[in-house]
Amino acid sequence: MVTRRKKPVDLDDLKSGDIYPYEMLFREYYRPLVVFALKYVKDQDTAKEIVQEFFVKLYEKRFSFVIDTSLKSYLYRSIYNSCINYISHIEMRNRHFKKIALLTENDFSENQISTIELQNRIYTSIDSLPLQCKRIFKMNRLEGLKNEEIAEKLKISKRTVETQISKALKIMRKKLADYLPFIIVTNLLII
Amino acid sequence: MNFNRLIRYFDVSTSKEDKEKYQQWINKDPSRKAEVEKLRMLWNEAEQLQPFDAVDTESDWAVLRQRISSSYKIRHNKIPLRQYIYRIAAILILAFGLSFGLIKIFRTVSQHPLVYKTFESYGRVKTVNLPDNSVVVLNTHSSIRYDHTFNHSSRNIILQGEAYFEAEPNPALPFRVYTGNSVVEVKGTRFSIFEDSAYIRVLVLLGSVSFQSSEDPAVGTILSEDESGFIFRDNTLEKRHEVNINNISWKTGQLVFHKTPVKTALQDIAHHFHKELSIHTELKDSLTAQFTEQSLEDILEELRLLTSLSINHTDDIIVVKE
Repeated sequence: MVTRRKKPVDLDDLKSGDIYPYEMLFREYYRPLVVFALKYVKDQDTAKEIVQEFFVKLYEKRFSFVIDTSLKSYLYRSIYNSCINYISHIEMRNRHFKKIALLTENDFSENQISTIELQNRIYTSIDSLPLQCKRIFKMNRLEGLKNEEIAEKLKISKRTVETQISKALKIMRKKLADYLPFIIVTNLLII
Repeated sequence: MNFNRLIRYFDVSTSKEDKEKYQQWINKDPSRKAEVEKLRMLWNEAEQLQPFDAVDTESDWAVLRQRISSSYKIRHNKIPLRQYIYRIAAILILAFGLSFGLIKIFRTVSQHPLVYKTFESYGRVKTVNLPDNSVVVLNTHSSIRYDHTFNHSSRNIILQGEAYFEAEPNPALPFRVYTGNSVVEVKGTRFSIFEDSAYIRVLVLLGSVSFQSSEDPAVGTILSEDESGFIFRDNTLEKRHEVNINNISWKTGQLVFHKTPVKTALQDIAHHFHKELSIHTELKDSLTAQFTEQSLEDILEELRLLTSLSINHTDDIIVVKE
């Protein structure tokens, strides 16, 4: 596993009652948790609602809750449980027991968390690119536009588009230096 | 590593022959080949990130913040008597937590990652020196906030209200200011941001900035020296090839008019002194004058002489008549 250099938000910070550690926690984990929930509930609004609901509860009981794992696994585990609850609730209501595959403990693994965390890290590195660079890189990679199409849309030369994408890759390569060998490992595991 | 060549190699629309050429270039050097593999993974992973992009942490945080503050109020109103014990316990835990937190802060003050800094100006103009040597001058009732990553991995600031910036150049860390639905990014320059209920206005006095909507990436422009830009709440953009220097009179203490229509001059004066303006006559003349740190009464007296209009003011309004 990759260890983090910065000290993440921990329980003591949360229990201080200050809203900022809580906000930091939200900012750090909200996006990957929604994406994680999306794997189970398949609907963006539901996924968001589940994660927000969880954060409301977390805030309400921030003085009193006890966990015996890392905060990170606790967050993912809680969201996983909320998703299961939500799905079984829907199942009960629709009485379509057989139509929706039952989730089991096996669906939840450390591996899955690592993959999401890594993707989140890559996303964050894209998000912190200079604006024009970010915009063009996203258009190419996330929206699947061709370089000619991007050039036409933004009224710039194809050469400029290529230069910006190269620049993006160069910056990301530097920022993610410690994690790139890890990408290869996770990819092998997924295959 | 030649990245331009590399992305042409990754590009699906590159012809087969060209790709083979690039492949040969890559194969020539084993270390280059390993590096390309890493970048290819990054390239492919990035394609899967659409779901991440669809989550707007900033706006959802605003919603959540509202929710937790209201849930707190509701609970506050109906705490049953027997829960007082819990409350006392909670206070004790809080006290423990706080002392714990304090001890921790004293021990690790230099690398504590959770420090959020907020500066508020309240009723008076206030100058803030940032850790990167940039200077921010806050107008009254404005605030800025930044977190522990400032000057380390980013230079991001959240602004509410109005402020003037002198950003220290640092090509490695772009200086970004988030205001409402806009974001301004600079390398090192002098500019001012003003937030109104209808729009965000940016004036550039030196250098250039990138001015973007934070909600719609297609809305954005580059503003150069002596240009101003507006992003309205509906994410429309307007760019002007001029700067009204009186917009930052709150910082400079100066109101400058050079062949300025009297109406515009009166608007600038009213805005500077936080007054409403009510005009009951037609204004055709223009005005050339300069006022430095002068009181409203002094300025109006001069205007009366120059324009022979009747100008009066109360605590909140300036009234202009024939």
